[in-house]
Amino acid sequence: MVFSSLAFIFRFLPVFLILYFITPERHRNLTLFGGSLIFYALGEPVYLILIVLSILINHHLGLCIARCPRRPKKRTFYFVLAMIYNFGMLLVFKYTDFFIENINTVIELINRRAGTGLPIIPLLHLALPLGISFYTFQIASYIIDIYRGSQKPERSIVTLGTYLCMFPQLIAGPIVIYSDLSAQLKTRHVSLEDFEDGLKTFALGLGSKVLLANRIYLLWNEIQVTGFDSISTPLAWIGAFAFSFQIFFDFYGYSLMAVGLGKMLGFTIPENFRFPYAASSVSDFWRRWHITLGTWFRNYIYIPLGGNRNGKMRTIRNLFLVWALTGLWHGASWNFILWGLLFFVLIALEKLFLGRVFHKCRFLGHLYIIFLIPVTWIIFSITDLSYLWTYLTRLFPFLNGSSMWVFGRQDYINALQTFGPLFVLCILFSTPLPAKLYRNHKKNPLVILALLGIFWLSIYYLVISTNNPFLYFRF
Amino acid sequence: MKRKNILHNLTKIPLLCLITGTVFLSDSIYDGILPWPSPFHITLGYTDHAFEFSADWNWGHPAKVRMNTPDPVLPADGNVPLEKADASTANDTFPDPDGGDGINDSDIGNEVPDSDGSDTASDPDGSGAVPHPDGGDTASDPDGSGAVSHPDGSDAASDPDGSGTVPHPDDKWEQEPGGVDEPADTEAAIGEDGLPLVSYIQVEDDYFDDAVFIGDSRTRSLQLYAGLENTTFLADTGLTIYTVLDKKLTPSTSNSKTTVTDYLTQHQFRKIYLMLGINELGTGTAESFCRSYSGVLDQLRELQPDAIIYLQAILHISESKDKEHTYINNAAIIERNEALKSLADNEHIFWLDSNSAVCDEDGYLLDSYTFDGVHLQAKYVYLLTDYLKQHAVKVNTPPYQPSFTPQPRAVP
Repeated sequence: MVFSSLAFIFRFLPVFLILYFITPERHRNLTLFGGSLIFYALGEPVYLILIVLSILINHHLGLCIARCPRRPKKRTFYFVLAMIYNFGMLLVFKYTDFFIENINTVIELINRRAGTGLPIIPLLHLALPLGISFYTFQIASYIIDIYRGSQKPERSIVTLGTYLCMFPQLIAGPIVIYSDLSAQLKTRHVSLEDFEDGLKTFALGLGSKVLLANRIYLLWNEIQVTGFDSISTPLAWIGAFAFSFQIFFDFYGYSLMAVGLGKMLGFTIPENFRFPYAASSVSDFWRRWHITLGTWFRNYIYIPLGGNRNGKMRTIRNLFLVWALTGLWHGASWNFILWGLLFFVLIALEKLFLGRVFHKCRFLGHLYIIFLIPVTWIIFSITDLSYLWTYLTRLFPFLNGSSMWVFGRQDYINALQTFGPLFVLCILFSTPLPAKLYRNHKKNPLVILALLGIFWLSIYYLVISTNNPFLYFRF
Repeated sequence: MKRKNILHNLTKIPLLCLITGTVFLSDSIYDGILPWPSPFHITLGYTDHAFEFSADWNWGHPAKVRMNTPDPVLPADGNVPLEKADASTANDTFPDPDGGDGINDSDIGNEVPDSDGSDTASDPDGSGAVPHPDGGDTASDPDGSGAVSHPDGSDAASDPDGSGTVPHPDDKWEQEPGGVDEPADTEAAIGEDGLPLVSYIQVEDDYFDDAVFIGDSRTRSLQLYAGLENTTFLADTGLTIYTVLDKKLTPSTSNSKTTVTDYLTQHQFRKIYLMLGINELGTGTAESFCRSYSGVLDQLRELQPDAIIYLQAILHISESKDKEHTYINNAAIIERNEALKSLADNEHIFWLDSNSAVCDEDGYLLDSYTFDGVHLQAKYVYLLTDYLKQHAVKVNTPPYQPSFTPQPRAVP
C-alpha cells in the first residue's frame, strides 16, 4: 500500500489514527507495531514473515552481543552472525538472479568458445520483498551500533519492532538510525499543533507526488511509447529533465509524506532531501539527495574503511567501494553499478581538482549539475544496456554520427507545448524558494487554504486515475 | 488523568473526519478494499464526455444520478452481451484482405477464407468459414507489384450515387501500379451480406493529400511519425466518439484550436479515415458505442458529402496488456469491432481492419512493436500506413488531384 493511494488516505490512515489516539500513550507502540504489520501485510502478505523474523533474530542477537562485553570473540561471533543473516537475506532476495544471469553469460561464452555444453543455471525469479533494502540497512545500523557500544540493545520486542517497521518509513525510507528514534520510542507526545503540522507536510508530499511527479511522468512515458530511437535530440534532453523531475518529486514527496506521518504520530523523522537540484557540485548534490542513505554509507562503510585519512590512494579505493555499493543498492542490474561508478569518477575528480573550480565559480557548478544529473538519471532509469546506449546516442548524436532529428522537429515543440507549464512548476519547486515561503507563512490562512486545495486536487487526480485510467493515461 | 488524556485525544476525531471527508464512510472510488460490503456506494468519475455521478445503496433500492450521460458505465470486465452479435457475424463475410504485408499475392483471388484476426477470437464458427465468393478474377495483378485485389463487384454496383459513371481508363485510379483489376461479372457484385463487394488498389503517399485522419492518440502517432506531410490530421489524445465532433483540438495544418465540425465545415476532403474506440472501452456497451458511432458517421457524411469514409477497426492491444485483465482487453475490442463493422455500407463507408498488419496470429499487437501495449512505436507506424496504402478502395468517385490542398468550401 502506498501513501498516495485512496485506500491509504481514506481507509487505513483514519482508522489507524483513531485507534492510535484512543490508545493510552504508553501502549501506543503496540498499536503502531500492529498497524504497521497490517500495513505491510496489505502490500506484501507473503514476506511479512521475513520482516517478523528479522525483528526476532536481531532482537535476540542484539541482546547477545550486549550480554558479553568482556568476551570480544563471542561478541564478534554474534555480530557476524547478525550481519550474515541481514545482508544474506538482502543478497538472496535482491541479487541472486542478477548473479545467476552473469554466471550464465560467462557459461554461454565458454560454451561458444570451447564448444562445451555446460548447463545454464535456471533463474529463481524471487519477488523482491517490499522495503527490504531499507529495513535491512536500518536493522544493520542498530546491530553495528550495539557492537560498537554506542547503543544499548532494546529489551522490548514491540519497541524494536515499532522502530523497524513503523509504516511511515517502512517502504521507501528515510533510513532512520535507531539512536535518532530511541528516545521517541520510549515517550512521545503529540500536540494538536504537531498533528496539524504533520498533516500539512503530508499534503505537501502528496501534492509533490501526485501533481508533479505523476504528471511529468506522462512525458517520460510518452517518450518510451514513441521509442528511444525515434526521438530528436532536443526531446531526448527534455525527456531526461522530465525523468529527473519525476524521480525527485516522487521520492521527495514520499519522504515528505513519511516526515508528515511521523510528526502526526509524535516522531521526528529526518529530512531526506534538501533541494538537490540547487547543488553546485556532485559532492554537494549527494549531501542533498537521499541524505539518510548517504549518511548511512558514510557512517557504516566509508569512515570505518578509513575515510579520507589514509592518503589519496586509500581515499580513492574507499570512494570506489562506497559508490559501487551505492549503485548496487539501488538495483540489481549493471546500469545501476555503472551509475554508481560514474558518481565515483565524478566525486573523485572533484576531490582531486574539479571541486576547487566549482568552489570559485558557483555558476559553473550549477550549470554542471543541471546538465550532468539528468544524464546520470538516464543511466539510472534504463536497465537495458542496449536501450541505454540508444538513448545516449540520442542525447549526444555525435556518439554514433547520427542526425539530431529522426521524425522532424515537431516532437520537442509538441512536448514543450503540452508540458511547458508543468516544467516551470517543477523548476520552481526544485528551488528553496517555495519552502522558505511556506516556513515563514505556515500559519497564514491563505497557505492553509492552498494546502487544502493541493490535497483535494491530488485526491481528484487519484480518483480519476483509479476510476478511469484513461484520463490519466489517455490514448 | 488517564481519562482526561483520552478525552483530549477524542477531540481530534472531528478534525480527522473533516480532513478525510464523508468519503471515509462510503465505499467510493475503489472497490474491494474492504472484505465486507459497504452499505453506500458512490461512483465518481469522468466518462470523458460527461461527468458522472452515481450513487446507490447496495442494501436498498438503487438510485442513480447521472449528469448528461447517454451511456451506462461498463463493468470493469467489459463483458456485456451484445444483442447484435448475430447480425455482425453475418456481416463478416465481406471480403477483408488478409495479411497486411501485401506481398503474398499468391492468395489473391484464390479461395482464401477471410482470416481477419478479430474474427478468429470472437466467433470461431463464423470466422473464415465462408470462402471468398470467387469472382473469377484470378488474372489480376499479374506483375505481383503488391496490390491486393479482391473479388469485386462491378464498379457500377458500388457506385454511390447511382449515376453509373465508370471511371475512364485514363484515370489515375486505374493507373495505380498493380491496381488494375478487371471488373468481374455483375453477379458477384453483391456479397453474402448484401453489401457491394469492395476492391482495393495500391496507392502512394499522395493518395492521402485529400484525406483527413480523425482519431485519438493512435492516429496522432500516424500524424507525427507516418511522414505524410500533406495530409490533414484532426487527432487528439483521449478523443472519443462522444467528443470527436466538439472537442477543441489542433489540426495538423494550423496552430489554432478548432473543432472537427468547424474544420470540416470549412474544408472539403475526398477521404476520411476514422479510428476511435480504445478510450471508450470503459464506457457504455458495444451497442451503445456503435449507436454513437453511427450518429457521428451520419454527421460526417452530412459535412463531407463527397468523401468516402474509412471506418477503421480499433487496433488490438498486446498480449501483455491484455493479460492485465483490465477493461482494456482484446475481447472487448473485438466485440466492438464486430459491431462497428456493420456500419459499413461499402458505398460511402468502408470497413478497414489493419490489425493483420501489426498483430500476430492470435490477434495480439506484437509486443516488439509497442512499449505500452497500446501504441505502435514510432518506427513501426509505417506498417499501418503501408496497409492503408495497399487498401485504398476502388470507387467511382472522380480521381483525386495529386496537388490537392484543402480549400475553403465554395458557397453555392
